[in-house]
Amino acid sequence: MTLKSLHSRLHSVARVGAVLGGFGIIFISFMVTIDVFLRKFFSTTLGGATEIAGMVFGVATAIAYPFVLLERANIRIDVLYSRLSGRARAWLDLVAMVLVLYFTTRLTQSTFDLLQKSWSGGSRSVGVINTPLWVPQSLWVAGFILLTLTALFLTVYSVIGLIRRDWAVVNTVAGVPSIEHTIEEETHIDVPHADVDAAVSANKEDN
Amino acid sequence: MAAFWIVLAIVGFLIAAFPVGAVLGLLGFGIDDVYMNGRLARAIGNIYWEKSIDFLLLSAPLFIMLGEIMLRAGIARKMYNAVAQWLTFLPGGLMHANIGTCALFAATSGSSVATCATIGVAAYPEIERHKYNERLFMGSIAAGGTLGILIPPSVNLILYGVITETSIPELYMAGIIPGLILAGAFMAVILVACLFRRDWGGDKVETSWRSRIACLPDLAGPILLFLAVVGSIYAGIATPTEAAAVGVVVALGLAALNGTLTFSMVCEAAAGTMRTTGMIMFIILAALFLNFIFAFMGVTKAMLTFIATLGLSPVETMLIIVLFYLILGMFMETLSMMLTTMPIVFPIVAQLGEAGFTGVWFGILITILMEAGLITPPIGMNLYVAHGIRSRGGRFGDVAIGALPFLLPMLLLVFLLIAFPGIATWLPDRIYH
Repeated sequence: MTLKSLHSRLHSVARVGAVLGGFGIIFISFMVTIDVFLRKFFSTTLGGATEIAGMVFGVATAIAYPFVLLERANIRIDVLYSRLSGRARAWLDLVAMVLVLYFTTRLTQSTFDLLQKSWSGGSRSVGVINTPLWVPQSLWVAGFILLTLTALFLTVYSVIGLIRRDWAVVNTVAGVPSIEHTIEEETHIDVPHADVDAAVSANKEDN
Repeated sequence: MAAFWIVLAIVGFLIAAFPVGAVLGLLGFGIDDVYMNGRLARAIGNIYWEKSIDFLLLSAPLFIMLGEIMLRAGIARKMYNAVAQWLTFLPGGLMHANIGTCALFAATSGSSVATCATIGVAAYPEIERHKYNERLFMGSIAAGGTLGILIPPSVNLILYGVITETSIPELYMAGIIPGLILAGAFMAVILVACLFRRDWGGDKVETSWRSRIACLPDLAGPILLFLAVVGSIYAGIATPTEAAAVGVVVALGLAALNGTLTFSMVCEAAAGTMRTTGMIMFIILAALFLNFIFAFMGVTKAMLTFIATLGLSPVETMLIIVLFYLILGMFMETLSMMLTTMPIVFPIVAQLGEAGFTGVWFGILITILMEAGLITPPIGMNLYVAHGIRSRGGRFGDVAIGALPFLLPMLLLVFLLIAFPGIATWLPDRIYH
């Protein structure tokens, strides 16, 4: 399998993770809504809805992190970046991805330590449900591990792109997406024309 | 001295286009390694877990989901036509509908980009149909869209509330009056411009009382949603998170009534929600970690001592802060601007000691400055979005120039808020104190 097809396959798998996370958020909406109505009209509650909602939220976000990274949706300030040559940008992209990899590695380590402590100490959630914390935490840590592995893959891919002097590949893997792409992703509008303008053209003048 | 190097490092890394969340997090680890021998690294796992399951922070993805569903629910066009029937008699015609619909949509959505995109798509075809001045028309969409983060619900106010430990219900109530004032002032800008240049205001749109009344049901959905969400917070029936959950359920119901609720639509809304949520959580968790390190190390205290030696009056300090954000907003994406600067700026504002300069008040002030950042070039997300809608193309400069007049009411409101903090704090004080 080529790196390119592996990349796009990872992307679709990560999207499934994000969609599942989103369904988690919808599940929370219904559960909390029912809870509010029960409390208001019948002076009772489901019991532990807040607790469950928090855990679903934590896990849903964690399994969406790899998708965010593959989508290149992490915010970067591109005032200077957009004025650089394709080559300089590719180098910055690699350094940025290495920084992300280093950060997520340390973060995963810290979250894993917490999981180990919860496991050996037998900690439980505060509330009615009183779940052993390692249950939601292991899913949560799994999200961070997948994020780190994704960052590792993207770092390797960028290095290979740089060696091949293929700046465009580095940009699609680790760069800042074009304004048109960002708008389409965030607003669901098809941007019909490619001639955005002077302020934006710097994003795609070379390669 | 350490504080100076830390600020320099943040600025350098951010300008080098390294991801904001990673920069903040690595800085936290770096400070910990250098000054604390890595003792605090253990705490990070704990902070991340506690905040990842935080019930208050959960309101952010819920409001994002609400916005994603409303964006795809297809009710914007009907809403636009209904508002247009009522506002088009004014000189400037449908441009008033742009502002009015944006304000109404902002009352159901927590995002400026989503507001701008949703209303923009509905409004854009009218430029050609009724021969409007395209610059001012597009400018009104870009500026009107910024109301999304000021009029509750607002995702930005949630994040501000979490990071500064300010009450979110109070912030929501505080946003209502300034939001209405700003919407009114935007309309005044259009009115004045079109009184001077009749030809900018487009052809007259014919309407009658009968059609005005007939279109009222199209406004029922969004108004119902606003009442369910903001009304239940106001009445104390629900917390912001609970209200947001109810909002998602109501929005799904509205989409179902409108025949736009499909499985693929929900999947897209789910992916979009988690994309934005993941992006925001990546930054805010790192910012909270850095906040913790700052407090632990006394960086905040050192900063405050330094500010005190400058001997500025509270108002002078505020004017410098306003200028700082106006300039920063031209170059920086607004959400990361707020999240990266708040750990340093908020303590400064909090210790000014001026009556009325409260956390709630500053939340509204910073939100208006963020709105200004959204429409000031070269980096202004709403300008990009409004420009992206133009299927007939054109120069980016058109939108940027068209949005410029709307900056004036924003600046005026900022100064008014400094002179009369009560504009923001009166309503929440009446309800909660």
